[in-house]
Amino acid sequence: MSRKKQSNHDEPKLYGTFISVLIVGLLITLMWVGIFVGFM
Amino acid sequence: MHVHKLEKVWLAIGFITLVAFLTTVGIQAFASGQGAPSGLTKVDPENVEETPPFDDPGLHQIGENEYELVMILQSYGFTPNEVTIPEGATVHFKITSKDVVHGFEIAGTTVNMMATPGHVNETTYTFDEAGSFLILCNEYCGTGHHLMSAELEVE
Amino acid sequence: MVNRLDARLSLYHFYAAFTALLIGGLLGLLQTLVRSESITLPFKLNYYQILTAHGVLLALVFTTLFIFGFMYAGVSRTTGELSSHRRKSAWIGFILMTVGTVLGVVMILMNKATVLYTFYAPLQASPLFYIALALLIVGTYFASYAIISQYNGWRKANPGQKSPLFAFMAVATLVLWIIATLGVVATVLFQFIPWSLGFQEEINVTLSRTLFWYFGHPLVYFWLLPAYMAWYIVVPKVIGGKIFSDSLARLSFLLFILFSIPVGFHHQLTEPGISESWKFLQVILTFAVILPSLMTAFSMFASFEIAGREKGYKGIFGWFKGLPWSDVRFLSAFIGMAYFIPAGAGGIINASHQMNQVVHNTIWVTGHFHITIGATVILTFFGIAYWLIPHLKGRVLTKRMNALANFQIILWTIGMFIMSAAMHFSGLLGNPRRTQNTDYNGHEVASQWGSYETAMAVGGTLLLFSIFMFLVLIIRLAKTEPIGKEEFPIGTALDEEEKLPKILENWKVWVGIAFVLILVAYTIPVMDIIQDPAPGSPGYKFW
Repeated sequence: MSRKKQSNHDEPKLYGTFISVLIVGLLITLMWVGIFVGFM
Repeated sequence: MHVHKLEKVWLAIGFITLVAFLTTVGIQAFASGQGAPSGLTKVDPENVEETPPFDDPGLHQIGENEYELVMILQSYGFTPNEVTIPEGATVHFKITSKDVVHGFEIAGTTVNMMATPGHVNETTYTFDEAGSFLILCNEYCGTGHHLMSAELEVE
Repeated sequence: MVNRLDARLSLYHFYAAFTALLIGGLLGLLQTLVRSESITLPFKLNYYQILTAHGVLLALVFTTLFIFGFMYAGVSRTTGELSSHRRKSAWIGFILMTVGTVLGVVMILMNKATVLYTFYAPLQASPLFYIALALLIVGTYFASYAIISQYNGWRKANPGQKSPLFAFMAVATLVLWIIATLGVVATVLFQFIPWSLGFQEEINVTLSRTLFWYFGHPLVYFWLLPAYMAWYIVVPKVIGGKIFSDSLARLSFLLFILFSIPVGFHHQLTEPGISESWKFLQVILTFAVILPSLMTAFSMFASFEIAGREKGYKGIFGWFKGLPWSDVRFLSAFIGMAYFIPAGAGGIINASHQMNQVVHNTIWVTGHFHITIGATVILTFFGIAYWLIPHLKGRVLTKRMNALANFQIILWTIGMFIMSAAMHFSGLLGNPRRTQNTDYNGHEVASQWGSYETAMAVGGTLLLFSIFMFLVLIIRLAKTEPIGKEEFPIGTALDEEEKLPKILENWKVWVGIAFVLILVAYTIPVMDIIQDPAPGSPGYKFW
């Protein structure tokens, strides 16, 4: 319990943030790969 | 300065992705020799027609279905402006400009390079499909810029 | 509150910027109409002439004036009123920029400078056009002095304290700007002006292009960073949250100084006279400049999520509902951020060495910078204007005006989506940029571009309507809306009380590293271009 409390204190919960940026990164990667495969 | 654990992971993923992109284009450019056109040969723009290979512009066969295409660009035209090549031909383009900066683009292909006065630029492309290709200038070169084009027939 | 005299300084910049926006926007619509063969231009104007004016007025003038207007207001708000000699310097800067703009536009309208806003040699404009550009840049130096000196003054008066984030970011942006402009100043002063005056017969074309693009890429970061300032500092306050991290925000701006400059070759990837390995080195450095943008993306979402959780929204994406979607100050910036996803992807594609051949000088590139500067940046700027103009005029942004402003933002979003999507897709089919007409004697390849060009004209029409609406709203906010106090939102950071690592405010270190990187990336290729030059070029006036 004390461990959980401490991790909450140290760092805010940012799972939504993490998934959001991963989606952004995935979109960018898909666009790049699409152009490379489709046009190069 | 505190960096959130998930931000570290995110930056690491981003970094690895970028390295992967760079490696991919790097291998294609330097190992397979399909890099960006970067001709380093110089030519006097005021004596282009007296300087080889531009003293004989046009298509020259240099191997089996392999050609060199020498072209001179000036406002607002290409010399020559009609070229016919066989299907499957590999063409080595050598171009230069007699006046201002021009672009050399074959629409729908990756043949796309700048022609700056004073330099020869070069690229290579294999035409695997027959058809009528449009060569156009894609850098503004004066008020007739949109009239500057040529045709490449692949038969 | 912003001091009254500083408010006036800031407002004059905005009024001049919005005048440039109106004229530049109108010319933009005319271009799409000419290109889609809907109209022919009156008064003997030619397409390339109005294209030159469009680029100069929007990319160079509107952006620069707006950015300084925003910075003066924010620096005055966060460090106190500008001292009188600094304000004087700022006014001198404003006058020089305005005179430069008017002179440049007159030369373009007289058809003496139809060289486009990138003015590539050996097309040769009237010397007065280059002098006009020089005045514009010298004006920015007076303006930069005012802000940097104000920041230094604050630090002296508050030893040991970390500077206000807004002032720090303004200074970082200007440090980037000053280092970047060294290139364009060098080429204009030592190449274009003597050559156009006839003192030098020939110009080194490759050198002029290299110096231009040494400036040209950080130029786009000079546009982008003020938008990032609003994202980092203003948006967290607007959403009722906190800045995710003060020190990481500063670090990201410093990284932009380091990596946005030694990368200009990625605009010259398909040109001769520069060896491929030097191009590739700068491609690698270009990719490094993506990292601070990845940091920014994380910071934005983190500040949204933390704000949402504070308000009691639960679950992984619950915070998304907690964002103030109907508040134009937020909505405009958020849509700007969303646009930066395809814009960022497009930028990486453009800079990916030989992949540049797919899109180079096609209208894809035009689409690319219309969603970076023309969407991400300008939407954020619209959003700033909606609260800053009433703040400076002592009026309020009412609910009704907020709703109208949202409508204007949506109109812009849709117009830019239609126009830029058409540009991107037809660019991939080979449609060239900067071209009056793409008939090419009815060639079958070119015939497939026509419908895209109609779509561009439709998008352009919506965009011009959006500009009209913006200006009407701004005039009302400045003149007729209720008197009151509109907030100048300045967020506080989660780590506000933490000490800032000393190195983050040690400018000598960062400027030093920036110059080392510039020297590594440029010394040898530039020495080559100068010591073993291609034959020079006389000037041409092909218009």
